[in-house]
Amino acid sequence: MGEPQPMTEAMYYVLLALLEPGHGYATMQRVRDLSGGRLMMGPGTLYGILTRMKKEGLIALEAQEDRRKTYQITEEGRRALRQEYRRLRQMVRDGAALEEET
Amino acid sequence: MNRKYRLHPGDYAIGETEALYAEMARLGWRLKKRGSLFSRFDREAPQALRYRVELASPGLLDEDSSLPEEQIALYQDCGWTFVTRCGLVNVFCAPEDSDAPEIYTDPRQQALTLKALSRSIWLSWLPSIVVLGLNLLIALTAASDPASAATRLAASIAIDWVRHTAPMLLCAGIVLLLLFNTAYGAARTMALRRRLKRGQPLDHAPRKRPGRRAVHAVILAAVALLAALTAAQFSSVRRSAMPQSADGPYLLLRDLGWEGERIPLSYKDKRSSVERSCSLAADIWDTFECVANGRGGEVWMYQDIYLMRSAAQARALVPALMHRAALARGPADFHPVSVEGLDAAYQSEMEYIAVKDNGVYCVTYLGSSFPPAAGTGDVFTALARKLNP
Repeated sequence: MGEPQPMTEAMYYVLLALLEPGHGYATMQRVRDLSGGRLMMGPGTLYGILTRMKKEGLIALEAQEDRRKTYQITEEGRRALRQEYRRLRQMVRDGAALEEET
Repeated sequence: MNRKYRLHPGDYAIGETEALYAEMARLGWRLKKRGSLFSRFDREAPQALRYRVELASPGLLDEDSSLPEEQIALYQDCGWTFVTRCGLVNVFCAPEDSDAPEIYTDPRQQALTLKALSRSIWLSWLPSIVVLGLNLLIALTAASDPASAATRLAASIAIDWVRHTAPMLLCAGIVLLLLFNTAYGAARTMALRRRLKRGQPLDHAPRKRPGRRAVHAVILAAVALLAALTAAQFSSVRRSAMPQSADGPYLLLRDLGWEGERIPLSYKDKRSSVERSCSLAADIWDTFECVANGRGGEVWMYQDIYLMRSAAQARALVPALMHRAALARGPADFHPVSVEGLDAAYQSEMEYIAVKDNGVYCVTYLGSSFPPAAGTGDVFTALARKLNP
């Protein structure tokens, strides 16, 4: 198996949001809150990401009420999220020299 | 009138479609239903609305091309109202001043939704190509000699072209229009996909494309003109009982020495008749005549006469007529006959083909072999006499 690809920002936040189970609209709101209002995700973009992550086993259906489905992160998803978190933290550390420059 | 239909842009023209629906809503016409070619609008109070097209992305073998309920529910939670759908196109709307977020904040995600549309544009030709290919394959493999079957097919097309010029041009025009739409749709879809993949968002209020509209208008006008010509050609067909004296460039059995009474053909109730039609390529006479031969039998004669637009066209038609002869197997069965007063003449037993100026004369004439009779005239001589009065 090859090296895992870096996540997009949107995927990272969606996985982060789904640490708590939530349906699509709630996930959108949570992404906005988690990013401090910086990341506003459209429903089409979110639906595409949810579909892809479900296929890759990063999230799973937790419950279904009428037409709304509630998703939750899977163990595989947690592993990928932690890995991405470590990668981002390392990148920030590597860039610490920039702080001294300014 | 509270209802209006408008031709909408193709499925690939997402921005144009959204702009059209928004403009109609601004003018007081609210989208109610989208069909394959037309959209239906009902009269309502003018309103500033944003429309968004969402393309469904079914798999290649999926029968259902509607958006998943979950996706529609998510859009509705965000303030988008589902309006209508047709094929892959789903239409949502929201008031201009509402908080409904843009459906796609990442154009790269939207690029993925164009895959099914791109596939459907290319696959729209597949059934026609498969049916045409199978028909050709069956026709050629069923024939004992595929090369000669192909030649006969080409001859049939050449004769059909002369007999049905306008309908054939109309079919070609329609095919051209469909090809243009397919090629244009595919090119636009690819361009849009590239743009979205680069991260550039879709243009929801694109500029008009006069070049494309002009080409489309020209092809449409040509198709309309050809449809009118086709109608004129069909209405030009005149069929009547054969008159006692020829009212056209055809022979009567009397010209060949048969003075008997006209009777229906014995083995089927076919009566003597003349059919005249006019195509863009020729004036055409098709006749059938049957008379009693005075010995208890009958004599009959078929004629197909083509008055082409030029002598060169008349000569060019001869090989096709030989290939499509009812009884002869092809040009090899015909031998040339020298006849004074005719430009060219060929015979194959009961079949005669003659050329004089711009006219081609095909005659199928049995004479009277049942029972045989002597003294009947020769077809070519009678034709030469008629055409050189």
